[in-house]
Amino acid sequence: MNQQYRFGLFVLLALVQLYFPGKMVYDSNKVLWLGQAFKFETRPVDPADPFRGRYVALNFAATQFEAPAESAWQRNETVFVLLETDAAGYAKIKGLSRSKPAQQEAYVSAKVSYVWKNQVTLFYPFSRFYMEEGKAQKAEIIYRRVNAGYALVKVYKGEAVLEDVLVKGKSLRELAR
Amino acid sequence: MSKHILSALPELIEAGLISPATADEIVAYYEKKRDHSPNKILLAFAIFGALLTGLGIILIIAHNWDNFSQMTKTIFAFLPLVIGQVVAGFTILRKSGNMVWQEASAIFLTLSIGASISLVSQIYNLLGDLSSFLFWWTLLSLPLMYLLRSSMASLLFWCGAAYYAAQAGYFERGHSASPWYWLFVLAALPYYYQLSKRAGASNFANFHHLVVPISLVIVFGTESHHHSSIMFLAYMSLFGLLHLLGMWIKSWSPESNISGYQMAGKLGPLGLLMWFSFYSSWGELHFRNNPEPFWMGVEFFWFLGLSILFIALQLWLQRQKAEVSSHFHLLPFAFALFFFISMVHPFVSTVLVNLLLLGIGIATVVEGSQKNSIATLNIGMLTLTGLLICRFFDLKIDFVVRGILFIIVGVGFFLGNYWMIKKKKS
Repeated sequence: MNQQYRFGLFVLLALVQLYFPGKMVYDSNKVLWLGQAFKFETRPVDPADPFRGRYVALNFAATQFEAPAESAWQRNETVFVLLETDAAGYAKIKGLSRSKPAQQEAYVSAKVSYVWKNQVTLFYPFSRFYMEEGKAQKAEIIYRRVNAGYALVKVYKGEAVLEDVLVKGKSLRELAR
Repeated sequence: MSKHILSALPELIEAGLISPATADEIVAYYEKKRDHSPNKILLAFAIFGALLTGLGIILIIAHNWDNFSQMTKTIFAFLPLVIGQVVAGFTILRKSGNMVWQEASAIFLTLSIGASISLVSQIYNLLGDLSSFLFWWTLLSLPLMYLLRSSMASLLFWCGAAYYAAQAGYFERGHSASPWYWLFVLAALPYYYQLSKRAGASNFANFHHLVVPISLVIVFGTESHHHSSIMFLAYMSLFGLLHLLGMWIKSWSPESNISGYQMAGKLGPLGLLMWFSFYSSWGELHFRNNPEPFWMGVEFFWFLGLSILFIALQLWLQRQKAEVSSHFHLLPFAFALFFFISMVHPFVSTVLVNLLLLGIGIATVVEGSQKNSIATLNIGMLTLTGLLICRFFDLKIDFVVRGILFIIVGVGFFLGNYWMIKKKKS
């Protein structure tokens, strides 16, 4: 393989390498700008990822749904979760669907974590809130003390981005400072 | 090494052992060799430097800097990647053929791809399982080994592919690395083959001969689905195949150090046989109460496929008159036979495995003594000791008898090695 050919291929590769994180940035911003905001009630804990550092893992209140028996959901199945807001202003599951819901519906794609009888437990793709090393543990302690809070999630055409976690109306990042 | 020889030359000339002309030839030989081989120390420093810098960047990024704005963090996410790409592009254009630049830039770029994806997923709290993160990282760094002609990029790729497959297959249930891991293997094989052909004696090739079989052995277990019992059979064929592959590599690249393949090909089957020398191990196989017959499972297809490859390679090597006279090559056949017998008579299989291990131990000791190889002799001794220790746990033998048996083997170890060393000296 001659040098110019190799360099040409390398430029292509470099573009693909840039495209991948670039698309992640673009997609996330699109959801943040255009998405509808939902408040998910949470209970956090604090683990770490070997490459991406500390994060607060979030457990959501709205993860279980009583599905009709004939829908027969399976573990690890991808599911579209239709969302609505309850009287207290928090996100609530309206229904589950295998096919993409209509445009005007607010929905997010998730995975079926497990099924027990007719009760489906879901796993949302926004359960990690990355925080500065050292602050994550502090955040967890604050959270445990208050024991009330919610995750602000923007939802746009099935994609979701976790924007912030709020405790008593204040960002967890601010509180743990 | 060459320095010692060169500094000893004046002394050798003075002592009349070599002529000044021979000394000049020796000097010329080493100078020529030095021109061709890259500066190894510089290369090693460049590799470690790039590895440490790249890993350092990943760690600094993992701190999750809260004080920067989202925009600043996003720019920082792309910075190491762009720097890595510029350096790699410069290497291709201006430093082509310079191993130090090729290896260092490939390592740095590989690591900065990971750093970049990782920082973006932090900034936007994107979940992504560890396995999908590793998948994209590995995939995006795949072409670097070919474009930068970098053996370190290839080694990192093999490690990354194995890490991804193990993470997906063993730890994140419901995910399977199949068929991606095998596609990764196929994509990386041409580089590995070329490297072993071009520079069989190099450290890079030898590291590959170690990393590749280990990666395959670790990941293969993720292919187990509903018939995990059949995986024992498939593993035995894999071990046999790896052993033969090592010999095949040796046949066209005699300078290669194939200890990784030999280790997988010898210790693997011995370990499995030791496990199955317990009667209870056969009882734990579940193929009887599985609703789907075992021959319909994907594990059985792996077993068949690997066995066919194993037999084909064995026949081919024999036709090429390569040295394949090790009794380890019969083990997959014997094990398959015991395995099927155990479906009806597990006790018979247990006895046969024990006899086989005893036979292997004795045969290896004999082979070691005939070939004057202390290593082979000790592998045989260790096999016998292992078998004895296993039986120590489950047979109701009198303590005195067990004690005597251990003493006999211990004395055998000592006498065998002593006799061998004496034989070698004489």
